[in-house]
Amino acid sequence: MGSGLISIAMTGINAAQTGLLTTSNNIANLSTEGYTRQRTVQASNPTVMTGAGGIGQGTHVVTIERMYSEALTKQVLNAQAKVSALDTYYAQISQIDNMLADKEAGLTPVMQEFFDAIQAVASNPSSLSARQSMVSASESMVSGFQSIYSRLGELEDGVNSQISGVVNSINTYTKQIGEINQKIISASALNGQPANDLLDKRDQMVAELNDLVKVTVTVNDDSSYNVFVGSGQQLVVGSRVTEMAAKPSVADPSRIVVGLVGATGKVQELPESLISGGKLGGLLSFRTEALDSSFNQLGLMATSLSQTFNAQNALGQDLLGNTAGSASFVANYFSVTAPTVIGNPATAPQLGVTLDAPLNNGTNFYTNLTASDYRLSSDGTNLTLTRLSDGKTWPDASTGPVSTTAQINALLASDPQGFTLSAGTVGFAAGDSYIIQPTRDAARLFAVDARVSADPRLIAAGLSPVVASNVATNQGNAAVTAISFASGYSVGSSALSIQYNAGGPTGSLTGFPAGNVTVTSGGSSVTYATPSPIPYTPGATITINSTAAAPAWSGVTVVLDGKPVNGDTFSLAGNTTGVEDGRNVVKLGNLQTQNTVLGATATFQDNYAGFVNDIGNKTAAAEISSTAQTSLLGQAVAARESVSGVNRDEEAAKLIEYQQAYQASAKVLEIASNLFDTLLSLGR
Amino acid sequence: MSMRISTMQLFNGGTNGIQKLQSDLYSAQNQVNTGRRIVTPKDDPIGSAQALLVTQASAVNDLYLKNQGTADSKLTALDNTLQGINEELQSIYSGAVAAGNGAYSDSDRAAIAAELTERLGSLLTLANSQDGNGRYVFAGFKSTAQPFSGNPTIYVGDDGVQKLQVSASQYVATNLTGTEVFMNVRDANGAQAVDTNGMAVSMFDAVNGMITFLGTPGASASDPVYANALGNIQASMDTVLRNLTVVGARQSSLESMTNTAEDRTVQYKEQLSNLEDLDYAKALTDVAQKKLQLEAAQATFATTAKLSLFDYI
Repeated sequence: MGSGLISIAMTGINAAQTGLLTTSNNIANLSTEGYTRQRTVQASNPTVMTGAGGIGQGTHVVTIERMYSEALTKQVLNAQAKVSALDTYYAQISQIDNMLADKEAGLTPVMQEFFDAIQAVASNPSSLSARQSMVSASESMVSGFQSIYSRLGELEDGVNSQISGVVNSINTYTKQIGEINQKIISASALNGQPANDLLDKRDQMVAELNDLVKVTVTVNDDSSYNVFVGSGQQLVVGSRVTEMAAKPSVADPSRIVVGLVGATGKVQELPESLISGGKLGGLLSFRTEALDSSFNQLGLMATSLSQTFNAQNALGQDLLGNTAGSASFVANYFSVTAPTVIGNPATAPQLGVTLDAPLNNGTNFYTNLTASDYRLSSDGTNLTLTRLSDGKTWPDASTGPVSTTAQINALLASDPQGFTLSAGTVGFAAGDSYIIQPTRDAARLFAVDARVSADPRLIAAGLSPVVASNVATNQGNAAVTAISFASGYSVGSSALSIQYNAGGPTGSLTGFPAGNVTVTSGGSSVTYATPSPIPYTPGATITINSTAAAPAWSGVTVVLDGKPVNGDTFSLAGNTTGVEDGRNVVKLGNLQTQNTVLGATATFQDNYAGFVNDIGNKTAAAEISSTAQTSLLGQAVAARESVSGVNRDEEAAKLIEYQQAYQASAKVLEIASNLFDTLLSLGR
Repeated sequence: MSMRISTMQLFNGGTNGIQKLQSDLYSAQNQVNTGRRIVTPKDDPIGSAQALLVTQASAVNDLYLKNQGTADSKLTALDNTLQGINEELQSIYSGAVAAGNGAYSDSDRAAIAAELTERLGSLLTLANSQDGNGRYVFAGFKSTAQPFSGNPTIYVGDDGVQKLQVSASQYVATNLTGTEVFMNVRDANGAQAVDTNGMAVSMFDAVNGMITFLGTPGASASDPVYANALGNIQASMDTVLRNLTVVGARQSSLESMTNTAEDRTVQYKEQLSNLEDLDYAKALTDVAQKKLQLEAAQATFATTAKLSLFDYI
């Protein structure tokens, strides 16, 4: 009897002691990251059947249980991956946001100074100091573009090195998870009890890995984890680990991409769309959504500005009297950067891409460039050009397949994107593809022509020929009221005299060079062969298309208005000493407020404001989503903690509970001892 | 059912809450410090894009104002020169009229002719006026070469009209060419001034015609040459007056444009201020409110974190 009591009391003491140990372990790990609260699971010992019924035999500790919920842990992991991606994205994009925040440091002030300087030349076309200021303002605008470009470049370098760093850490974690998996398998096989500390450690590793890239976890029968990334690409299976690698992309070697190292050591690139969540996901989406478009927007501004400005400048005359065609005439005030083309594989045929010359809508020059990159790909027979920003393709579903670059160009002709492919490229193999970046590098290579920098007299501020009506003899009041030039115009080496002859219903004009002239009045145009006389229409625009060798007055349009008298003559002559002529520089200044970009739908400033708006929106959206996700994460963590977290007060209560259980069992022991003593004393 | 709270969560929750409130307080305070509602574009993406557009519109408006100022000062100088020309012509005209007196002798007329020659010289000087930069004002685009010289005086400038953009759609011409002022002489009816042979004459030809006539012995006011020369001087004055009117009209349209542009400057400033500037009353209330929240959070955290069952066992 007594020995039964003693053994029952001992089971109670043992169980209470285990309880105290577990509780004190919980208290000790109160602030251990990743620790899961443990508790003892007690069960009664099997009863011994007697005639009086079953007598209990005390208690035993079945196991020390880890208070863990797989579902709640998964919720935390999901939320954590999103928060970490958003926080990384936000941290990156807010650097662009901050860069654009300062109105004194963005592009607005430098562009304004540039256009102010142009107006100063318009006020004083012959002033060398005004011209010098214009060159200086151009150069500071150029360096404004370049400094934003280099800031973006630093961000890009940062992203690239962070990707490499993150990938290294991922490999460290997956390796450790593989090792812990192995230990867990051995430990549970050894004593049949879960290795709680290893399980906690592994979960902590998974949480930290998941912070870097979103992973999914499945549990095997032997308690080991399988860890997957993306759409199910294995990182860890049991103790087998697949390494991740960061390397330059095959399609664009300037980009660091991630891939998985195969059995043979070959790296298989993971499509960026597969990697979501975690720091890595945040970095990649920042690069595609914000950084690439920032480079391109900046390049779009630089290219459109250069192209439209150059086209207008080319129509002018510099202070030295040089015009288009003169050896020392500088048509291109700014250098223009050719699109970047990256072929994949490197053996694919060389593809040339050239920027289209800017178009003129009758008011000003404009470009059709977009801020997107493009991809040309071949399936061996047919070619497809894809605009990467929105996935639009040439040909699309409505047009049949095309097999030559010339055919792609034909499609682009009706839907211009501001560039043209080299028409003669042949020999595409299946799988050949090209990334075409029309504007990406333009801001970096933006520059003022060195000759103009050195000699601002070369700015083509004037419009070349000037009209001189022969005042000494003209009797009527007619005059040339406007004069303009088309790209590629030519000015004759000798003056062109247009004479008015009365007679006929309207009178006629003679003196045009051989070829033809187009007379446009009231919206309708008539073309007349010259040098035959053409009818005079007051206020009509007369465009000369000369075929004569000399004087080759071609591409020149004049407006003649008023009432001429028979014999009145109007002459067009080279304006070689017309130093006060600022007509072309006025037109250059007008570009500021004209629709020069995106197919003549926006001004430079509209485009820049759109860019700032876009970055602001993305930053604000990231901030808002991050706040929302952080609160979701908080809820998920609270839910998990409500199961797994240690509560100090609860443990204090448990301490008392186990202490009292211990004391009670000890009391039983004492009673058993007294009982035994009583029995012994009976014999005396 | 009440939720189990872990102790770590209690502390983390408390510090996170305090950190968030501190961060909110910081950004509210930052708005007050900078005086800007939009500190970076993310604070109001649409507003910041609009602010950029208004900034440019305002800068372009300032540019127009500057160009208007430049144009106005050029036109004022032009007006002064034309007034000077007008005065010379008036003196020439009254001299020429006086010379028509039948009682005058050849020597009287020669004396007047000598005076007119002097005045023709100053007229020529005025025609070759230069601006502050040494550019000839009546030479069209060929402003670096003296436009008028020789006898008969010929014009080597051109008909280039210097224009400045003074509003989104308007340009103002800031010069008059030698052709308009001196060569293309037209009377009040707009008819070209011609000599007795029907050849077109310039202002210098007109005065020269009178001088030549007065220098001829026995010249008589009844000679048609005299009437023609006097008429041509009259036409020269008409031409100058017409040009003065042109300059005046340009200046008055500039003045109204300047008024409009100055109004715009104020409007743009207001618009920008509405877009970007901080509503201080609201911002300060925000700061006060956030400060209060933070204090409350700190106080409650300090109190609740102290609670422990261990204090009682």
